[in-house]
Amino acid sequence: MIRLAEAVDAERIGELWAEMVTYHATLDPQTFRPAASGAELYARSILDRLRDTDARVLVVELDGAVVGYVNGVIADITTEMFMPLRCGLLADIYLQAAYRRRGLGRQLVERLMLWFRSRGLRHFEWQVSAGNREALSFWKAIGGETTMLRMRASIPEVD
Amino acid sequence: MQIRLAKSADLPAAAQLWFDRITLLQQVDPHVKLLPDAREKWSDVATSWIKDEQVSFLVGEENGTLVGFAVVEVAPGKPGMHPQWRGILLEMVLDLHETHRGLSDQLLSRAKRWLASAGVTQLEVDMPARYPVEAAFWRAQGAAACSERLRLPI
Repeated sequence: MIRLAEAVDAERIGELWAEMVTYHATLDPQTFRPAASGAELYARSILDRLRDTDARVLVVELDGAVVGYVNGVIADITTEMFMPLRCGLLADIYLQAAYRRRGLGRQLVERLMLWFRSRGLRHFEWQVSAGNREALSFWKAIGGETTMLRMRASIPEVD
Repeated sequence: MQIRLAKSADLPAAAQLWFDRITLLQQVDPHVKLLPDAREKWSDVATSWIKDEQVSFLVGEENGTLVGFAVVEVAPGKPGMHPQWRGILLEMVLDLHETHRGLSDQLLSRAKRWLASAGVTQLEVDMPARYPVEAAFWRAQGAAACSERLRLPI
């Protein structure tokens, strides 16, 4: 069952976020290095999202357990020099490995898209780790178009 | 060529360089549209950069003319993640009408030194996917893609 997240789900969503980051750390250890209190901080940010009318958090609940979630928000993605452009942002999506390949991830995305559409948005955006080739293939297969690249350079320490 | 910190007097010339660059970028991404007073708004933002201690606004000057600039910021890391602080390139704009050999390297080198002195170990740069020349420049600087931003019509 896909349903709206509630405050009681925040801690569990924090745990799922930590799982997601651990997985991503295997792909890109430089980017994904969770702090010790990362799950707790993320859970707190979810509580903020639940109070935000421009945010939506959905969970997948199976047999009484939350096994996945999606975290979306509406924001103006331009800076002050540009015409305002309100856009849906998919901040995070995660589904535990045992529950993948059942269409649940796609359902989460579709439910979030319905909400974006109900708010009058015409497109949504999200970021994918460059090391996550499987996810990039999935998103491109459903029509996602890469618009921006984030690149990172190391800075040598000063003596 | 001289690389130095920006002053308020540099802003009109910097705003024009910025406007030239962004006009080209608009051509590759029709989703973004400049406001009629975009240059003035950019100058307001740039004024705040000059005053901000978390930002280094560097300009390149040649024969008394401003030929490019770079702006970097020390920004907090993502919630619950390391590093606690990261460097963000806010702008890097070069004169599009004339070649100034080594300008980008010199600007970047100074910006990196400033970030390093602030204890920052990573510099992140966002660039349009349809602008491969910039990506090639950053790869030559040792940068690697860490994420892609995708868009899907609803």
